[in-house]
Amino acid sequence: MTDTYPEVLAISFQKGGTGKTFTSLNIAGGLAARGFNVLAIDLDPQGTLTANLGKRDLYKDLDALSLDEILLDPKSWDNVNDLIHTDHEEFDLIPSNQSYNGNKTPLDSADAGENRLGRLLERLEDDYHYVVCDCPPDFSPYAKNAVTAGEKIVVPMEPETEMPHSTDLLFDQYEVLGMMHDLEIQYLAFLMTVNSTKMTNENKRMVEWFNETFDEKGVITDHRAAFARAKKSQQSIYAHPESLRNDEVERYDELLQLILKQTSPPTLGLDVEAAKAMTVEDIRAAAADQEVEA
Amino acid sequence: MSDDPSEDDFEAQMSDVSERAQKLGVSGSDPSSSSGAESLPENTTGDTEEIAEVDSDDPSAAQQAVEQGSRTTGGPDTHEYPNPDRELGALADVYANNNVFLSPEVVDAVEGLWDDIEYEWKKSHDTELNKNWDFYMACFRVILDNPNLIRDELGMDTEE
Repeated sequence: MTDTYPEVLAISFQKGGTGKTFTSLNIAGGLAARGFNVLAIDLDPQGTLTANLGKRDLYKDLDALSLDEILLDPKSWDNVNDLIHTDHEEFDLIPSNQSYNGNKTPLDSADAGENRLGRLLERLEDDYHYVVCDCPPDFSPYAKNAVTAGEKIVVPMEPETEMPHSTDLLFDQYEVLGMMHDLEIQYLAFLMTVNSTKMTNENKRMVEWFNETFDEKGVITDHRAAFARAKKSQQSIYAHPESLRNDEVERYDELLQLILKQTSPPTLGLDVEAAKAMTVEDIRAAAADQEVEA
Repeated sequence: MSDDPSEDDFEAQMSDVSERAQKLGVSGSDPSSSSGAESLPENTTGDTEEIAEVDSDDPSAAQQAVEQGSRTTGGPDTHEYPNPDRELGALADVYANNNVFLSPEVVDAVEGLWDDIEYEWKKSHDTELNKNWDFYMACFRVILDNPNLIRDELGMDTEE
């Protein structure tokens, strides 16, 4: 790994509908709001992050060069730079494409098919502090590539009774992956999104289990309509003015604090410590300054 | 041990995963020590009563009670919330169904308003609102109390 190799975060949980895409969006946005150069990679064949960022046409364009093709053909790896879209206000994006084939991808049978993304990222011409990978809800090579590339996982959850079983399975799968590739996988944080106005007894019980199990690595965030509107406007909660004003952003930012505390991105000319020390108040102030300038 | 084997199994599973998390260095604390609901979002109440859609165990009995007029439902001028009508039985038995078709944008806006209202209510009350019993009834009562809002919206002359 070079000294400019980014921190690669896998936002992964094989259980569907737990908020991986929204978490990826907000982690990428929260890091970018602190001045880090961020690349988001949509590794989910469903392309939800890609679609949420307004790039549905790209996702549907089967003729477009896509990450799955490049991952399969190491001779074409220098073309990875052509995959990057730089027009989002917060971070760059490598989109998903319909050509990804989900659980049944040729990567399954390719040599070291689950250990290619890291090598590929070394070919990036632009330097990034962080690469945020939105993983599919499975243990396909797409998800595993994100883990092997950075060995750091963030797990989004919901307060449903399936969580203990699914977490057990997650630990199993990544334990084997770590053993096979001699990885030191770190779980940086667990995020549970609740709707505090609709908590059943089972939900509350799962929140209690979550607190007991993950303690200081667990963050609980409450559903906010403003956050849903951020997603709809193709922004993270850090760039969406209404969400940034919302008091829940401070709680959500505990997730970012956990990530920042446990990662050491390359400097790339940035005062990394100062960027890490930025609070939500600092981000709000910076956003207000930008608004005045505009 | 509980009387329910599936409950014991679930408890064991939760505890196993907690221990595993601790071994993986994921947890920062002893899983046996309960920190629990302290970290719940501030607007979460500590009540233990399960929130559920209002359903009567015996809808026909509820309907009968309404029909028999043992208690009439609230009218346009009733402004009591949470709506006491919910005690009369299941929503579908007590209230009349009235389908409304709206543009997707308006549906989204109504959903957003409901989320905001529900959250604000929860912050300042010990009770909970129900979307049908309370929110939709409040929306329509506001209109019925202020019909000129509709006339304005439609660009009509408002009544003096």
